[in-house]
Amino acid sequence: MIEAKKSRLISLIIISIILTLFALTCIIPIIAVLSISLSDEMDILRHGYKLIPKKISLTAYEYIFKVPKQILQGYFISLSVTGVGTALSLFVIAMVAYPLSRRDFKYRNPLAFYIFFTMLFNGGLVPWYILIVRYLHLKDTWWVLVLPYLVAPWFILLLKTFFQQIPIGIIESAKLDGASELRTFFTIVVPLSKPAMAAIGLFILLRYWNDWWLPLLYIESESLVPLQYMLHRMMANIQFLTQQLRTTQMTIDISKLPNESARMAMCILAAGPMLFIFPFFQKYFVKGLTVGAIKG
Amino acid sequence: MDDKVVHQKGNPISESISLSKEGLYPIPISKKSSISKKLITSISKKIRDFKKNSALFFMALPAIILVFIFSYIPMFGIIVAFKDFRYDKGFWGSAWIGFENFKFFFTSLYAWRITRNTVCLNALFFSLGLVASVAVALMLHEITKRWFVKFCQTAYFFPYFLSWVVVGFTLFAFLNMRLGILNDFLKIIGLGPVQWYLKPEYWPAILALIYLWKTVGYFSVIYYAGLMGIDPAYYEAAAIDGATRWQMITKISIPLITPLMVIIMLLQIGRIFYADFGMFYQLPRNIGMLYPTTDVIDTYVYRSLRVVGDIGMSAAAGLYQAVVGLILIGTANYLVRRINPENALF
Amino acid sequence: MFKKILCGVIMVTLLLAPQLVWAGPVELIWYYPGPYPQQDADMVFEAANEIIEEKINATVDFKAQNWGDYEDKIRLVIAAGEDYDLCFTANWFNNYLQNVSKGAFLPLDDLIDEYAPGLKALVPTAMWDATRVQGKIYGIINYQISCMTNGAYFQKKMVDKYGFDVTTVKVMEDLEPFLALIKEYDPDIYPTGIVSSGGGNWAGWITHFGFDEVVGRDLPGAVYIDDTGAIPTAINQYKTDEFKKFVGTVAEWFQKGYIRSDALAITDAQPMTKAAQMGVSFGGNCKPGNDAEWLAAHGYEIISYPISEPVLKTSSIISTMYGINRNSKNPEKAMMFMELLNTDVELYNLLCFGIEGVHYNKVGPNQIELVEGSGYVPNTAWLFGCQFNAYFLPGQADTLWEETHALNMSAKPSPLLGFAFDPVPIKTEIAQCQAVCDEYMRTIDTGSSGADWEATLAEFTAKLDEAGAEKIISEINTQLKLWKLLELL
Repeated sequence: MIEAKKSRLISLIIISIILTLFALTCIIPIIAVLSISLSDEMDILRHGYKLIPKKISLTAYEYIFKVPKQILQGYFISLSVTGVGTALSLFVIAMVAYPLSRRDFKYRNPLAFYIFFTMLFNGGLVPWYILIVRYLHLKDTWWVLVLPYLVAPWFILLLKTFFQQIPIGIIESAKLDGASELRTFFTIVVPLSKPAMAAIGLFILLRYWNDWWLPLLYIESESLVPLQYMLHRMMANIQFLTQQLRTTQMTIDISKLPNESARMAMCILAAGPMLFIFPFFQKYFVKGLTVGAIKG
Repeated sequence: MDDKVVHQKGNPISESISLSKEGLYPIPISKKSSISKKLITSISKKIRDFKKNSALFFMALPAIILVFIFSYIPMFGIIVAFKDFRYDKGFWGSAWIGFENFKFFFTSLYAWRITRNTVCLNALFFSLGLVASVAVALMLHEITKRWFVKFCQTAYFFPYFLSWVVVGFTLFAFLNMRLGILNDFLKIIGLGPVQWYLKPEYWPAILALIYLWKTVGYFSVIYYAGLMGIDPAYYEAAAIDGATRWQMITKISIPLITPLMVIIMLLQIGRIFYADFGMFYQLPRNIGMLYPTTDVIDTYVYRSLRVVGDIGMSAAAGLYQAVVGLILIGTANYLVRRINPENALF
Repeated sequence: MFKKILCGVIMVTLLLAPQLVWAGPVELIWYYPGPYPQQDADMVFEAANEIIEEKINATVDFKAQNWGDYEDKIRLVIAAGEDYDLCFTANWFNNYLQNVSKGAFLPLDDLIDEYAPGLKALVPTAMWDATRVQGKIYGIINYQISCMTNGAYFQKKMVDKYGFDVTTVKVMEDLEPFLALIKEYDPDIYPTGIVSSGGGNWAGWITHFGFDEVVGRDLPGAVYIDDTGAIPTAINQYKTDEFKKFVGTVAEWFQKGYIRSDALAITDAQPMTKAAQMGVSFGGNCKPGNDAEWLAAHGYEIISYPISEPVLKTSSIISTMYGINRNSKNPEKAMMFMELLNTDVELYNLLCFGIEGVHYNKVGPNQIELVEGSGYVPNTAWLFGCQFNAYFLPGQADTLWEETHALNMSAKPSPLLGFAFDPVPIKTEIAQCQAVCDEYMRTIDTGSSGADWEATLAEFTAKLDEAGAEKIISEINTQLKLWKLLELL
């Protein structure tokens, strides 16, 4: 018995070391990015990237916050789109994942295929663009940042698999008690799947937060530009200009481009809020929600 | 939601519900049944089926509609793969040219190389990713200190927030010949600097490591959530029977998250012909010398169509990827279904 | 009878109705790139619209896109048939020939004659001819420096330090002594600025080597600039002695350390440029006012020295233009607007530099100084119209535009001037050769193949042949013959 405890302790220590090492490899690059954002530009040019800046300089942040209104607006759009999008999307996705998980649902297979098919086949960018701009008239609206991402086949099929873990007996007995499908879903399935819902919710949230593709295509008003797109725009400009610079005879002045510190500062600002969101979702990763607890 | 319909039949509940429940409803078949009668019964059976399933169907309806609008309507665009697309003629007016657009891909000197790279690298990524993320999830599951789990999971998500452009920068800072951190280190231990960006043989490994680094956090959350969903009663029972932790992992944890692993693998098999463009474009810095091991279908199509700029040709490449993906996933799904229909995708 | 009258009334109303709608100012939609968003852009656009509305009874919806997104966006807008009137197009950005060959733009000859006489006179005929595709003009030129002169750009500090005479440089190899000195005595500075960023070093210096490329940057197919044949002959430039010599030289430089050892992986030359870390860089267009521009942009001095004669190439002429949407509702107004933009000095400078007193201050009749840190600095005078209307910035001589025009007129016309290659018949081969070039060109032209350069070069040309280079060359020659034949008729 003591022997077993000892070996368990040793294995726990090994596990902790592995997990910590991996955590470090994930944190160090972020620290590097942070440190570059705080570095003096000439230091970077001369000495390359350093993990700890030679001297701290806030010029990059000053550069970005020159027009604070823009950044704040960006935060507002990002937060509102992410908030509303995540809530709506999780709702829609859960509502379709549940029937798909039910073995007694007659249209289960065709529906799964109907949804899965869109993961592989799509009509391409142009028809999609035509649909959204010319027929749905969503160009340059707040909703265009939310609607196209509401349904994601990958998340549906994942969540469906989670729902399948729930023993069918519980659902059947609830129905015997006269509960409707909707009621069964909300009072039994959802609470039992908290970790799964949290995980998928987190993914949906990240997808909305990290997106710059929809605003690139559909947003024109500066007041609707989310943060990630600001970052993307900055990076895309730099890439474009450095690539085109010597091949055209046009003089494109690159000296005014944001330098490396500013790019990294933008990364930090764009990812920042999300680094703190994780613990919030983790609160739903709880053990102990047993089937028995629900039954009782 | 007409949930009454579902219940008034009082369908018997059994632990083993077969996939098709037609058998539960006696269909009145008279001996003098005519064709029209058959038709009526079959229609009425369809209606009854629908009524029985309507509650669940209506739950799925919002998603069905959204998928239809945003995915199925634009699918008419697939036709440009077979057309010589011109702006002034549009989608419908442009001339049909058969398989002409597919030629640039299939007659390419590199068709074999990019296909091999795409499939092999993806297979490498997916299998390593599966093992690593399940392992991380299982390890996290062993940890009882909540703060430590929180810390690790948060940290593992950091790489996810760095775009490929930034990861490309950071990797370059690390592998760079002159100021690179890794080469500084190699010099110290006497292995000399390595010209990483000129050596294609190292790149599958470099890419695989970066892939793991970036995605393990993400996928391990799925498996971790799966582990969380396991009824603790199983572990309690096993503990009473005197099972070791290892036995619990192999006999309870892994089998119970297998459906998740299967579904993720299935979905990834469907995507095996698609490469992550950002990753393959930004990390090897588009260096020609590295193409033998890093050039994939997506980067190849992007580069070779830069000058021609033909959406018909890129649609053709996309269609090819999709069709192959569908065949692969159909096969894989069939095999899974043979073993355990529960785990199949459809 | 009554019916007839009724019909007549209806007819008249129907005919007049559009006229009535016309009475209000027309709104033109104008897509162009730049370093947007600019904080004060709306203010400038409003001021511009006042002028435009007064002069031609139209307003403009300015769709100023940022550099990185412009091409993605405009391609979608064109492909989706979305409403727009004017868009920026060039050989290097939102590809002009591609757009024309796929029917995106309106032929402009008649519109120019009718609505833009000033603009037509402003731009020399030879330049207009360069935009012709199968005899028709599809692009409105922003007239400026139109010829290409390759140059070498020396860091002045280094030249002074080693007392190097830049005028001795006739060919690349003449730089050797200078490079050797820097290599030996200035370890912190890279002797050359050769890296893999931008379109490559061979292509950047191609005028110096005496070629004009036909299909596009790096693709096989070029003619000698001094080809005097009645019909110019296209050749595979990668099989010429010039290319071989160039490859040998860069490979040697690479081995001697004149080129940074990680050149292949450097996709961004900006840090090097900013930190003044290179002795000499090459390529680009060595044009009047270059040194002043550099000083203003980077804060240190360079000496630029031309290493080719000025050559008038189609590619250098069609590098900044506007096209009119084939489905434009108001092509006449769009052309009138182009005329205005190119002839109205006030409007042009407003878009280039912003509002006087807010974004710039006048320091002479035509001299201005930009206000430091203002909210409108697009810095793209070359994109808004005829650059000869632009105010002078500090460091620019008053004679800059005369010099530029004189240079344009004196430049040697390329034998390809006025020829537009149609890539459609061989687009498969182009895609394939593009892939081969992508794989080999950067390795070869940064010298990174080192001692193996001859083997790499042989492999490269062999792969190109396999990918259909000869087919491209013969297609070019066919089209060249046809072009000359049509010219004779």
